[in-house]
Amino acid sequence: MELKEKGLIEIKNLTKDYGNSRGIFDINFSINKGEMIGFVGTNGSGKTTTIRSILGFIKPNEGAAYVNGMESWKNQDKIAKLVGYVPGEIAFPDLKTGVNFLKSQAEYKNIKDLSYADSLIKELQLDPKANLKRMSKGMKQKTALVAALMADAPIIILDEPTTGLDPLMRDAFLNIIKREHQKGKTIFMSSHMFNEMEETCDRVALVSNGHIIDVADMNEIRNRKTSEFKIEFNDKESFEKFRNSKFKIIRIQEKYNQVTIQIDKNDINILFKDLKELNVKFISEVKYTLERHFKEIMEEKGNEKE
Amino acid sequence: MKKNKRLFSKALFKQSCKANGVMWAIITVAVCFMLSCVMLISGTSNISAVKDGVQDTIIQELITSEIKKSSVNLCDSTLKGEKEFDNNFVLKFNELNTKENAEEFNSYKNQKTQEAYLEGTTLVTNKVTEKITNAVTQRVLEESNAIQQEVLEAVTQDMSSQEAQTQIATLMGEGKTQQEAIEIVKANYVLEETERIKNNHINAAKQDILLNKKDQFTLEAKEELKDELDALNASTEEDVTNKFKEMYVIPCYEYAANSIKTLYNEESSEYKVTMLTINPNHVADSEYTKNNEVIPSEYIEDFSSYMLSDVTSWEDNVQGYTLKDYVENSREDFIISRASQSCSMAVGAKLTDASYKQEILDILKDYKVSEETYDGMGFDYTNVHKISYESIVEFQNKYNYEVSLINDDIKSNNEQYLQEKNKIHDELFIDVAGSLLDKLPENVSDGINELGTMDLYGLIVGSIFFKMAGLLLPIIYVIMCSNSLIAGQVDTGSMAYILSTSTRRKEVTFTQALYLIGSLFLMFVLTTITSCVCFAIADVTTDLTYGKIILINLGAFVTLFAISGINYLTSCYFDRSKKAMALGGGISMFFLVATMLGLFGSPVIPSVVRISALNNFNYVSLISLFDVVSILNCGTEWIYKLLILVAIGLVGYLIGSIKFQKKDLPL
Repeated sequence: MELKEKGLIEIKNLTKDYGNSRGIFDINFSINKGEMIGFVGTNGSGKTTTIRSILGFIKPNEGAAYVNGMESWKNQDKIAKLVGYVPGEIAFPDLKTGVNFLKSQAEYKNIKDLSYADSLIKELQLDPKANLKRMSKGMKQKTALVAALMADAPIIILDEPTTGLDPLMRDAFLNIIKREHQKGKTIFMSSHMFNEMEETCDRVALVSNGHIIDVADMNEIRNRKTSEFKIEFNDKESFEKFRNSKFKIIRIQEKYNQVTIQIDKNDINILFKDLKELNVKFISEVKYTLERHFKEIMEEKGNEKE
Repeated sequence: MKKNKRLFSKALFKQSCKANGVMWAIITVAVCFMLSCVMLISGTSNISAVKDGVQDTIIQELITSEIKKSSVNLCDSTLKGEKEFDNNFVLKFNELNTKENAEEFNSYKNQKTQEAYLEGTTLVTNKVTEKITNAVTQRVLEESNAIQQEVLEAVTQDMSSQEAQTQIATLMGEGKTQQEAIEIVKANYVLEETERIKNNHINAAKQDILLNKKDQFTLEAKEELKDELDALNASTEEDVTNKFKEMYVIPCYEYAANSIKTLYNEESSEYKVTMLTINPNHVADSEYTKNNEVIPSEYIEDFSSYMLSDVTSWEDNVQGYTLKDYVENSREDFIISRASQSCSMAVGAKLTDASYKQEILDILKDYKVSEETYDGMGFDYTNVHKISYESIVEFQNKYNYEVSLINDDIKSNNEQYLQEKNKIHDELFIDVAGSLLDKLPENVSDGINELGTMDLYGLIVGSIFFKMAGLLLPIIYVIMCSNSLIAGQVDTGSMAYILSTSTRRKEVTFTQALYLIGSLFLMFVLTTITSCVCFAIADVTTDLTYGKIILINLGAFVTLFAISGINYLTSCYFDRSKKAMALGGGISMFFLVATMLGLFGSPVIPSVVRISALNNFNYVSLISLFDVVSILNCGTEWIYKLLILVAIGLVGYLIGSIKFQKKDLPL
């Protein structure tokens, strides 16, 4: 099946109003083929509603979501063929074991060859013979992931897939998702954790109260031309000397003899040369995180409003 | 891309089978087990004997009740007849009781009395004279010696007289000897003196007896003539009575008796019983003797004294109304007791009448009640008489009690009081109106007809099992299964795994509906087989046939189809399984409970034990559209009722499917 390169998933003026200013309002977003998109926001900000709209589970009040050019609500079944979905709340059908469930899913999806599913099971160290009802949250999450990935669908949509997983398991999870991404799959996942987004996603959209506040390009964030360093000196003399040098200082904490400077990445050598002559207690890079990025944007927006 | 037009998802069907299969199996086995228990246990036990026993009791009860009702009814008619008679009697009497008639009667009476008196006096006088004569003769006889002495003395005196000497001389001159002459004269004197002295004595005795013994003799004579005098008096009295009858009683009687003919048809039983009660001219005596009953006293016995008093009141120049007063105020108890006696006798006689009994037996034959069984029910003359009599007395007591409750204000107003009494009578009478003795076999037949449809086995299997007990578990299955097929999966979110696999919502609704209907159908295929097998094993006399069993199973399936439609609709409508189950299950259970309560008021329960108020529940239960009775009676009503159920089910499934396809799913 031909997949659109540009705007594989497109959300246009999507509005679903649940009343009491809950829901999503006028969301516009476009995802290209092969992109991995993160969707962050607090609980109840509208992530799941957006995902349900994309999957065609709910009918928007206005606007529409399109997957590969097809309107979701009307073409739910066709869209489902392109999408592997891991729901936020894992509840399995009333079947006995994981094997039963996966087999039944394979039947739904018309999958004859289960070898990929088997390899996924091995990788995730999943015991599929366990009783579905007695599975831990992690096992359920894994089983759901296997079910979503087994059809090798070109689009994977995950609704807070890592919530409730231990850090190790979360990494394994994200690794699998990343690998799927590397295979060229389009991935759309929601989360309320910024750090896992910035590790994996190409772009991250921030949703708040049903509106997309900002879309951050992770490449821009990761490959910023400037870096920030926090430097603390052992004595006041060095501190004063460095303070008066040519570096761009963005923050000064005199009490601790600390400065934070912003510097072009190409100028790092110059910084180290200068520091050689000074009595430095420690130097650490202050990373520019997604969280910080969005915080700044939120502050900006807040200021604008004022 | 080719258009996906599938409606059926095999994978989903399999999943539903796996998810609900165990529940289905358990419930199906349980239903079949219950069914076979019901059919075999009630089939092999002596259910028909029980049924016959119940039927006999009910028939007995029915006949008894009809006897009671028609007795009360008959008694009422008789009372009416009696009152009509009495009133007309009084009417006619007051018409006849004129001054002229009274004078005529009195003069007749006086004349007769006088005649009798005279005759009696003559008799007594004669007797007394006879007695005196006898007494005088007796006295003279007693005094004969004295008379002889006196005669001798007188003759001796006479012989010495001049006249005697002259006569003797004359005789001797004629040639007689002196001796012969003396003898002849003496003989003459003896004759002469005897005659004279005897008469003297007789007269003396007469005077003495008349003076001293006449009264005694009169008494004695009356005593001796008592019988004759009594007979004389009696005949006089009879003549007077006959005159009275002729003048007053007979015309009144005839008039009153004729009035009954205008009230009732002469052929009707009311007329006959009224005549039996009044017994004019003892026409009905044979009826009483035939039934070994005492012939009752003259119906108008009490009237004569009042009538006489009314007639004699003319002597004071006033018209008397004592009879009217008596009839109006003091005769109630008498006519009631007369009516209850004669009616209970009539009912008893009727019920034991050979042709009438045959009529009843002919009807009962259809219900397999033999003559022996009927005889065993104890409807012999004594018993029926007793039942009838007691029911009449009971009715009258009830009526009297109600009347006694009327308050004094109303009582003081005559017209109002009468109205109130009539009202009470009518109210009490409503129950028995129409229960005529002649219609008794017909009424009994109607009563049993209703009972005849009570095929106990059919009732247990059809109305009790398939409409209630047997529906309970499948309804629970329907509630749980319809919920787990749609609402449950939406509520937990597991529906996402179905819808995210290119399974269309239409496919989901169709497949799930198909599963629900299919599983129900299979369940009832199995109950059909079970019930047919059990029916083959069970040895029972019933109207059930294999065809009816299959139809009942089909009916139960269609009923559940309708109920499943409702549950499916709620399951599709709500996202929360709590709500879906509460509404769908609640409605279903309400129907079932209403049916259970309704059964006790439904016509399948014999009227004797039916609580008709509960029948209202049948109008609010969907299950009532499953008309087992119509199926059992080979009617056709069940067809359209089942079609309604099918329509309800289809509408439920259709609306549910459409709703599910259009709604937002929280997945």
